[in-house]
Amino acid sequence: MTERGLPARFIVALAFLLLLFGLPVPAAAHLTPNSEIRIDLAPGAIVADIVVPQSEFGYATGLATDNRPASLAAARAYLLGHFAVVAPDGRNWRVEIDRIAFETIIGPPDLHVTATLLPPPGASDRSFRFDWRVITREVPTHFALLVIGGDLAGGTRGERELVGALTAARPVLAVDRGHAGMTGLFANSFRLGARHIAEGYDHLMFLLALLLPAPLLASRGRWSALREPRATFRHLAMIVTAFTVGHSLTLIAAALFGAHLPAAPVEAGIALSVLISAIHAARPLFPGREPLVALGFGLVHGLAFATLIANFGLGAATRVTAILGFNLGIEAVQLLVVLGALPALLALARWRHGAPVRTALATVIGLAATIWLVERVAGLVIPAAAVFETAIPWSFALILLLSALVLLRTVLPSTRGA
Amino acid sequence: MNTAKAGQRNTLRWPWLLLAAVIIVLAASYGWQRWSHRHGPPDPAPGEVTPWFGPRNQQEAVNAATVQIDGGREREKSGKTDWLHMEILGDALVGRYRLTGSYADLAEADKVLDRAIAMAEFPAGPSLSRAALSVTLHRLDDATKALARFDAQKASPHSEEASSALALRGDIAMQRGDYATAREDYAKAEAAANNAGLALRQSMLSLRTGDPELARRRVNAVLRGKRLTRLAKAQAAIQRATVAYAIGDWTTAGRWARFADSFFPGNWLNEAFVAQQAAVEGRPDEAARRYADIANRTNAPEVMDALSHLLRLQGKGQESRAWADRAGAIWAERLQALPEAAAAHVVEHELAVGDPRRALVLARQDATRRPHGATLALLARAQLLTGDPAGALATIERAEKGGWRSALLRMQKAEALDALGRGDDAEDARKAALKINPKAADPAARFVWFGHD
Repeated sequence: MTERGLPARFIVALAFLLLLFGLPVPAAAHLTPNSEIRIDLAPGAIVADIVVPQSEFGYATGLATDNRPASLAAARAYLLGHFAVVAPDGRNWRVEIDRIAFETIIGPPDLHVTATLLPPPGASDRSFRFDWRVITREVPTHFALLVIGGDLAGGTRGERELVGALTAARPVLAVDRGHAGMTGLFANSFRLGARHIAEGYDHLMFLLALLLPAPLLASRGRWSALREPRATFRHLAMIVTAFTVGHSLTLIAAALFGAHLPAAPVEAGIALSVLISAIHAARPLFPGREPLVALGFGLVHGLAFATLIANFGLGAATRVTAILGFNLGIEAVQLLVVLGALPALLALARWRHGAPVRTALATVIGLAATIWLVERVAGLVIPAAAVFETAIPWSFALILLLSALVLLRTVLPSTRGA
Repeated sequence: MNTAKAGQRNTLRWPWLLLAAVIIVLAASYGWQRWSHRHGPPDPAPGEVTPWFGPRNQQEAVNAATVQIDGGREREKSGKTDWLHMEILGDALVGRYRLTGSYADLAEADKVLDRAIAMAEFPAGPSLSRAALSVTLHRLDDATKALARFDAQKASPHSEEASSALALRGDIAMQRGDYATAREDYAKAEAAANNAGLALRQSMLSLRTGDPELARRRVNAVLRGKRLTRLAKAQAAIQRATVAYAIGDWTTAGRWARFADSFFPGNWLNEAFVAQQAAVEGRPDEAARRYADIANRTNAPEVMDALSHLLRLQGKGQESRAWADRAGAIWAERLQALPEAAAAHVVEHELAVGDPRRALVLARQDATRRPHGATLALLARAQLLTGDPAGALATIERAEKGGWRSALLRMQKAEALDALGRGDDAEDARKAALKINPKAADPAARFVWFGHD
């Protein structure tokens, strides 16, 4: 028997349709902030940069999350009690906390810790187990990512290599970076230096802006006359050498004696150096004293190079090899760029439209430098910076192409004559 | 001769010109269509949203349902009842559950409808209501069985009934992760009899399968619709907020959440959305106060979990655990009473403020029963947090393969790939998440508990 057709049944159908509205609250997965441990390997020691979200730290431990000495001491004790680095034979590595603070790096505040991890005597510095129970012991829904940020002797694939996630259920991860000797250390440091200068446009822009007016002489506040070719080469060599000496000095001081400045003023100083050299390329500010300026600003650039290698390792031989490789990598790329740009620079100085082109180039470099300066001082992200990031490599390619054309033009008439 | 050649050239050129013109027109129309699809009509202004009849606020709606429930219970007690009146009682109980979230009502409705089915001679009986409740309880096989009973009836159904049956089939397909069938069933249901509930379902399906713009337009049609109650419009407004959260449009989400709360005052879910919005807008303390007030008034464990999670994000361990414990106790009771219905919520609770090992077992069972994107996302989270990133990635890829698209799923994929040491792939997944929701990686996005994807 069916009841369809009855008015009551129809009322039920209507009531049912109304019920269709009230959708229940669906359950969903929710993400929580995780910790990250970035380790930099170098012969003899590992430097660990640990970031634990402050909220998760407070939630898990109930400890104070301020920078009073007692709070930091409690945080330090908690950390040391909750993680260990263990050699394959079961002996513990020594963990030294160099710096600990609650601070904002990016986004909400974190507990930021820098620690040095030292293997026990005779143990490999490239093979160990990372045992991490910070937060995860109290909060099983938390996890930490273990990342290899650098491996001075063995190198890394890309900027960072992820080892894995440390969770309450999987608190131990094994790291085995294989063998790496002094040759590997040198080669990798060389690669690192070369890559940094090739990708760090601000260093090359500074040099290029300083080299732009090198074939010219200043007179009455303007670039006017041409410098003698031999004098031009001498002048160029002096600028490049002075820059090399400057950045090498600070790099060595940083690596061997731990001389460091905070990254922010160094980065701002570099942007300022690019801006000043760009203005100088358009209108002479310090004609004839370019090598001195290159030396001075080279010191600042060297400090930035030093920040790239967070860990120079232990032992004088290791450090010297690393600095040598890194510096030679920088010099190799620098030399290639200077030699590549040289024909174009010389031709530009002699071209009748050279002056406006030089001014235009200086303006572009100056604009990029101004944007970098504002970004680095005010901590802002200016979308226009991305345009320059894209345009700069193409500009370098254009300069190299121009150089090639200049060289071709120099060679071709003689070929025809022959 | 030259003239003849020129004439020939012109003749030859004409068809090409015509073809080019056709291609240009087609390309322009396609472009225009795409553009207008992306930039559909704007949202209605809240002032344009007008109600029809029905309760004006939560209290009136609950009172109306209670009167109906009391009457139904009296009738049953006196023995003067039949399956039809039992069905009305069951539906009223479900209706009140949808307003208050009371599992007691849900459990009673389950029993009442079972008794009603037992009273009726096969194939008569409250098969549609039974199927609907089974879908709500996440008992998909039971729902299918009830729909088979409905199909076995000889007389042709009212268009509304036919539409409801098709909509329920769509719900079952949706929960089983078969979105194409769900879409088809909803379309058939709409052809049989159009209603706002269907539009909201289709909106949700569009949102979770990668078309938030269509989801928005579907909801807007309900908001603009005539002859709809305040409750229906408030629920549409909440869904509009959900669509906005999914694409990181927090301003719009806030506007519609507040609208829903003012349009149909007193509803705990609307109030919870408003509390959540306060946290998203940078006022977590206000959000905590609001959540605590709702939780104390309604005893809703969903709100307690949201509050506990919020307090966790503020680093307030003691308070967070107190609320988590309170919610945990209620979820344990609910799990006991209606295991399939409560499972996903218990998993959500355990993963956010509890123990992922407890979540994993339940998440696996639920994903076996209902392998749709949200359930798989919960399972993946449980797998990741219990040290199985490869399993988590496989689960996420299964959800993706099924057609589920959400920023959360992409963010989870990034985390699983990170855990597997595949940093570049993780970065790609993160970028894909930001493409769906530009605010997916914003720390404030973690405050979105309700209407989360």
